[in-house]
Amino acid sequence: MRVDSPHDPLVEDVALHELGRASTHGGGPFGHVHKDPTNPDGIFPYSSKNQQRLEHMKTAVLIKGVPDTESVLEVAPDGKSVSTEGLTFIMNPYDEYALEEAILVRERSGGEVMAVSMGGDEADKVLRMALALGVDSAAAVRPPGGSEPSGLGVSKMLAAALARWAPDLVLAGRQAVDSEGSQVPERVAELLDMPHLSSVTNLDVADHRLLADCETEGGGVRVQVGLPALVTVQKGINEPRYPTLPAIIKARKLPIAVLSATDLGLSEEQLSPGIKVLGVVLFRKERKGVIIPGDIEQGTIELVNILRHRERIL
Amino acid sequence: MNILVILEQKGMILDCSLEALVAAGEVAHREGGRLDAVLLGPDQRRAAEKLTGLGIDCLYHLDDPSLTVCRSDIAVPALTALCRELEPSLVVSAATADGKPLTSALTARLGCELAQDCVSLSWQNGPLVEKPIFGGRYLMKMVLTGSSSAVTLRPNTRKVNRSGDNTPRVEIRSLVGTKDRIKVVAVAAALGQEVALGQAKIIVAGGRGVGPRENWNILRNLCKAVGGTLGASRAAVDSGWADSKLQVGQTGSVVTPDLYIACGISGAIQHEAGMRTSKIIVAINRDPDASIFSFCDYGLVGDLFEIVPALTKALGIQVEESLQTTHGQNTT
Repeated sequence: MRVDSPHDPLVEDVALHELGRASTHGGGPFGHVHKDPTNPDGIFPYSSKNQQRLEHMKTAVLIKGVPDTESVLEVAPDGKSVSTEGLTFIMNPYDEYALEEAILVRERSGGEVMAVSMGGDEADKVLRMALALGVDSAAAVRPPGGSEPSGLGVSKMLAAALARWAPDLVLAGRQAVDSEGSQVPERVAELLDMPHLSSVTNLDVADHRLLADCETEGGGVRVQVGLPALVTVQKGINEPRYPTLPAIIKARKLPIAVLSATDLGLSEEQLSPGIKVLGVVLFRKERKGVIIPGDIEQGTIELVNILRHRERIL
Repeated sequence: MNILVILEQKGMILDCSLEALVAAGEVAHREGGRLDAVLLGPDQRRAAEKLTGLGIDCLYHLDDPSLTVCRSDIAVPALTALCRELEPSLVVSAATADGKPLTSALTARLGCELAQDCVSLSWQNGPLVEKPIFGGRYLMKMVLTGSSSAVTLRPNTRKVNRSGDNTPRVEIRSLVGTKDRIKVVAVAAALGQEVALGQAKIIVAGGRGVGPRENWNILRNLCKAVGGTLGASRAAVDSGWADSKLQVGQTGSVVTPDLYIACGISGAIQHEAGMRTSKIIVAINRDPDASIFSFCDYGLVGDLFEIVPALTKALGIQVEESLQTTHGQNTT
């Protein structure tokens, strides 16, 4: 990921509080930030608006740019990462659903949507896609220089960025299909002292509460939770719309706020990963590739014999 | 050093939780460390008996009726308190649909690193893991360097072996600091499948080649004959022929069965991502050039509507034949 200035000349340092409308629940442009004595672990907790009727619903969506899955991938020369040089980046497939859900929430409940992405050029790219789809504002969070941050570091930065905006609802895709870290959204929720729901297939937001169907292993759970809350979405929760060409062209000129670790009050030490990568190798399992000949009856009997006696599976 | 393993239960302790115990136990044993476990769930008084021979020193039991369904906001504060008390060098749990978010939340509170869905665990001055990335095309080998960290392990990647008859002592821990902000309104019954796809040991999956819903009974019959769980490719799900919960692949479930039988599935990269670590892959497809044949162990080229029923039948025949052989030997 690149930390120096992006290629896009329209990405400026727009202060975050200039985007969107001012928060209506008081406490200045960033809302209340207080320490909850029952939650001493929370780094960035802010007051929940459970008691008030929401006048202005603020929905944040966390999105990530990932290499296109059809890409031919190679291990980098140092053997410690997958090379992303020259690759096309797309929006993480699950995040498409999160983005669509955020827009649907705005259509039903009003308010505004902000898209947030951590990264360099690839973050700017997916934020432009989000703007083309109609989000009200976009913010890029730049990773600190040095080693690539882990889920721990990414979540601290995203939580710090979100705390300033004080969203009522945070949406994210279930996981990223490249790093498959599978932890950032839930970590962000904990840091913001928000309840979180994972792998949601149906969401109903009304007033200050939401009703969601969460997919679990071999079944599901329907839950109700007050806002603010964080939800990760599963594929199929909706049908993502496509941006129109005029919208894509217009999005090229819209501003993207840029936040660095320093802007967020986080030091490089706080974000330094406690993970040392030893190597990345191709995960190729040698397959036998035996095509069983003969007619159908012979072939299936032969296969059963193989599975029972040679492979000892059945 | 000491390791704490989080155990999940659905009436019985999950197999993949036992696998996590075995993996953690091997490390604890080799490094001369202590192994403890924590069980989430109501009334598991007999749980300790099921955990003999696994080298566990103490079983902590978070005993509360609210934990019948896995509840992060209830369990995480209690787990956090337990970790502050025990200060484990490593927390291990199974990489299940509930276990992964739970562990993410816990590590956020503890401020430590987490490697999810790993296929191996050892120790090198800290947990040394191998973790699939990029849809399982690559394996990342890494060491977690903090004084405390967490790892979740992919189900069905090791056997559960017991040695000795040591039974852990049990300590009941009450729930502390729970937020209880999430209200469970309803629990949906499983899809008629007893085993969740992510934990299934045998899977029969159908692709576009199977066609509309009424054609899928031959796969269900094969499932019954082979003791398997039904799965589907994205193409079949998108066409409306199979429920999305059955989907295997990059945007579906990642599965690690001993046997994966792919029927009428072409073998696109995104599908491969979900099933590539299956121990044995059997492919059935009428197109000899289908990609799936390039990464299967055994293949049958032909019409699945003839092959699948024939396979189901062959499974029945074999039983009779082996019985006949035994009988023949006895009378000789």
